[in-house]
Amino acid sequence: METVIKVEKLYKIYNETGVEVKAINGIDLEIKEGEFTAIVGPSGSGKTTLLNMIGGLDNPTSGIVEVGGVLLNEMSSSQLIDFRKNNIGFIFQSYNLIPVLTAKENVEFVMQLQGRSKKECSQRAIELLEAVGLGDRINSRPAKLSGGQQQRVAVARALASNPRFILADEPTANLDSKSTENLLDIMLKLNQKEKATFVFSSHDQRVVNKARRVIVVEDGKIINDDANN
Amino acid sequence: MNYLKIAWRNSMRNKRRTIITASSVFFAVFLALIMRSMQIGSYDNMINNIVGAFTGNIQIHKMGYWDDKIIDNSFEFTEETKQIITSTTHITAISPRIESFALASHQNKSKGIMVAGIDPTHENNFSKLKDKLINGEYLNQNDNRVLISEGLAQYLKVSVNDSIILMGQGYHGMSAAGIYPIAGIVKFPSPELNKRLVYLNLKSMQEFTSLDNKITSLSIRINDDKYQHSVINSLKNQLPKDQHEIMSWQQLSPDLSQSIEADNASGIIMLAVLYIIVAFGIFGTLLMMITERIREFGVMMAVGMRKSKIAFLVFCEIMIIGFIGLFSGVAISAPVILAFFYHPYHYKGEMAAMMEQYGMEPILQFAIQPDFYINQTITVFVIILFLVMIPISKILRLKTINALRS
Ligand SMILES: Nc1ncnc2c1ncn2[C@@H]1O[C@H](COP(=O)(O)OP(=O)(O)O)[C@@H](O)[C@H]1O
Ligand SMILES: [Mg+2]
Repeated sequence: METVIKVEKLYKIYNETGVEVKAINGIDLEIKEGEFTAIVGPSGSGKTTLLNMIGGLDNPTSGIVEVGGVLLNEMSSSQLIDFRKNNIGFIFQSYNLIPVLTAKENVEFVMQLQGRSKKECSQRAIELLEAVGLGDRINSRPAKLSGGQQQRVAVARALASNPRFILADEPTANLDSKSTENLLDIMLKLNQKEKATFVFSSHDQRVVNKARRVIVVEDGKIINDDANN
Repeated sequence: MNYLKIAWRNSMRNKRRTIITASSVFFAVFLALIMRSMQIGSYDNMINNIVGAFTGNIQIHKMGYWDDKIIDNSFEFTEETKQIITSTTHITAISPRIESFALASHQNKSKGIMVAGIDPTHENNFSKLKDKLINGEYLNQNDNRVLISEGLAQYLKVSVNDSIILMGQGYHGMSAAGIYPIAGIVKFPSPELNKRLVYLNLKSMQEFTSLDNKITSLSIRINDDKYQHSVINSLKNQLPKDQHEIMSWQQLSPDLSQSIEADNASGIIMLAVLYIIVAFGIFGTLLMMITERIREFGVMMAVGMRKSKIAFLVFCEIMIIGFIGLFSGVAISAPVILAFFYHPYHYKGEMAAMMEQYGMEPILQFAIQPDFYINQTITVFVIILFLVMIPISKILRLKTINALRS
């Protein structure tokens, strides 16, 4: 399989309070198309920072981030927004959804940003919400959904735009174990069905067990990677 | 999903804040419209009570009369002059008069008053004097009786058919005196006029003052005060040079004109203060609305929504709220203004007495002025537009990563 995410000599150093914090302290990483990869590590180890830089949400202090054959380092912020719109689906830890939109409208939203037809948006939104087991809640607003249901809508939304990459930053952190398992099964299923490359972070061992590849980070460095074993 | 729909839902999301913001706009518009309509209405009323009832928009005198108001400073009102004046555009009515001061007495009461010799027909066309009659009858063309203002009649304790004695000064210092039966009593809204005015037939007045065929002033009404300057200029050009002084009502009643100007200025300052207070209030709520939604904007940017689109969304939201306030302000003030315009409120009791003491008619009169209405609405709209710039510029400066972290 082809390498689609390439990170080289990546550093992210914060110096806001005068104290230097090396959030990412020299990471080299390659991820192949269609992989289902977990980035694992304790809180503060640099998982969010790494994912944000892969997703073009944040820029590195130094190093290279290449995603889908495109060098993110050299893009302007509006180019990055468009890049994300067409290539990346995000799932955050919480408050992913636009509160005034229903589940279906939230899923349609990103497709509409891409300029797809109304009919197409509606069809795919229903299809995806059924796939995440929310076929009967498509017209509910986020506030009327449980945390697990909200995260499933977020998964559906992340996939809606047919992105090549799904980046999920601790998507299960606020869920109970049953919802966690459920969400991961859905993600695994869709990873195969939609042929998207999944990278997600977690510090939960149960989550890690589901991953095909586990990368362990600590203090901004990779200390273990299945792919190398 | 169109923006207006999302914006509408967002504005309904925090109903309390929407109501507070929309009501701030509502109160700004409502108060501004009511306040100004009231002020302008009271000016119109004051002007009308003086200008319309007596002074006229413009007066013509013999040169020097205004500084030295003696009978000698009079002029002949020739057919030629009359021709010139009546053919000038915008002039709707004229009243040739002899105005003078005299002492009026009845039995043991007497008072210094103003006497006006009038042509009954002209004067009625000019000021609708007949309508002000509350007792007795109007003067006929050759009448030797007088009309007396209500306040003065009360003071002298006279009524219709009683006689009053007038004593004054005539032409070349001759003393003037006469006894005149009262034909009718007229009531003026302006307390100033109501307490000291006596109307004589112009002929009787000419006899009283030994002024044959001459008048001291020619009062002129025009169809709209905004033509005042052009009419004055036109008269200046047509009438023989240097013989007449042509004066505006502002020059004739400087006190009235100045008090209106001062009051108007303070009204505008109050309006500005009102707007500033409301603007700060709205500014605060807008800032709050933006601040607590930064993370939401961050998510929108993360999934690929451009900042300009987010800014437009927020613009729509604020406009929706602004228009709710704007329209309700206009809609709710309109009937109030119309009601007071057609049915002015008459003050009673102490308030009425106090206003009369200040020389005002005790009445609450609103004005209807479409241009003012539109201007205020536009002003408030512009303030909203200005305020919208703040959240918009904040959104445009957002960085995705920082927005997501908040
Ligand atoms: N904006 C920031 N300013 C300063 N330090 C930061 C900032 N963001 C993250 N860090 C620091 O970088 C390190 C890695 O953070 P993060 O990537 O959020 O870790 P994780 O997601 O694994 O918990 C932490 O020590 C954190 O305190
Ligand atoms: Mg994190």
